[in-house]
Amino acid sequence: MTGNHVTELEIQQYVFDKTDCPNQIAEHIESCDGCAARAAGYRLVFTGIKQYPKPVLDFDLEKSVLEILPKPASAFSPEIFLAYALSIALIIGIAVFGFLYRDRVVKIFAGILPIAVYLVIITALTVCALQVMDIYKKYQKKMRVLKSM
Amino acid sequence: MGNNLPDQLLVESILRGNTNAFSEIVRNTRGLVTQIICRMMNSVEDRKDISQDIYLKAFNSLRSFRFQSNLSTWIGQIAYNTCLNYLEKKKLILPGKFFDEDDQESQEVSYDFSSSATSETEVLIFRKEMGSIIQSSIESLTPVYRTMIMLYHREELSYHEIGQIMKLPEGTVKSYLFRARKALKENLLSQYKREEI
Repeated sequence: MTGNHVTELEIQQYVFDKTDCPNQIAEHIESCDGCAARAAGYRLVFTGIKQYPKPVLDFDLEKSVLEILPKPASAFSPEIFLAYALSIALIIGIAVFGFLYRDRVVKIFAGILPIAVYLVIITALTVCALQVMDIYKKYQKKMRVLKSM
Repeated sequence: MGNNLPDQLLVESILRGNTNAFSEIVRNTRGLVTQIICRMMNSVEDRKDISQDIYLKAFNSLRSFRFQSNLSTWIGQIAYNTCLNYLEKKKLILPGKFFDEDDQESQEVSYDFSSSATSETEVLIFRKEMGSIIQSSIESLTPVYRTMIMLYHREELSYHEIGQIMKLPEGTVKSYLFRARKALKENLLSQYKREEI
């Protein structure tokens, strides 16, 4: 309270948050014509806000949202089935070839210098590491975009 | 705040691939999102695109939702940020102050509204007039404060929830609401006096 009257903040508290308003303030407003008139102004504001028309969108929100959502993947996809089938066939083919011609395969590698083998392995690992780093960077970028939304 | 089982079930269902469960979320949050869009955006033409954008963002980032707030508050936050970004991009929002600081120190004017009308009919007419004045005053508020007033008084959100949506401390929300209501009351008073003259 300032002087003999309540502050603007206290009047707002009395009108908008009456449960949190101390009794002393409520009693003053109810007994003081000046403060009661100020409170009446806020009551009109409150009534005006309550009368404010509820917003309505001029389209069907639910329908418009469902239209743009990505469609769920169907249980059977011919493309995915073909990709899996080819991958399995390829792995089986390599395994059968390796088993049938294992002596020749061993001979091929026996003729190569160990340093050359190491070179090939290191190159392959480097390429793989670069690929993984690239994938990770892309993932981080996507996460940053999502977080900024 | 905290975990909400129906929300959690809905989110899990959507993440398992049930896109249709998302319509339940749209239905649950429609009121809040519509309130935010309509109070933030004056352009009716852009509202459809913005609402689709809001829900698409929510759908795509559903996996990152950690249930630290209600799902509706989280979607409200996305809605508010999307509208704010749109307004900033189009330079439709005035950054910085909402009211001049001097407004807070403006003279306290008092007027006995209740004694202006005598008969019951007069009271009704008076209230109707006051209602339309306040409504035009609400329209003249900046989008951020208009939204804040509506979220508190119409959607009945708490200061905490409004703070989460707008990413503002609770104290700031209270302070802004105080200033917005005061501006509405002063506007009402000055317009009423002008009409009376």
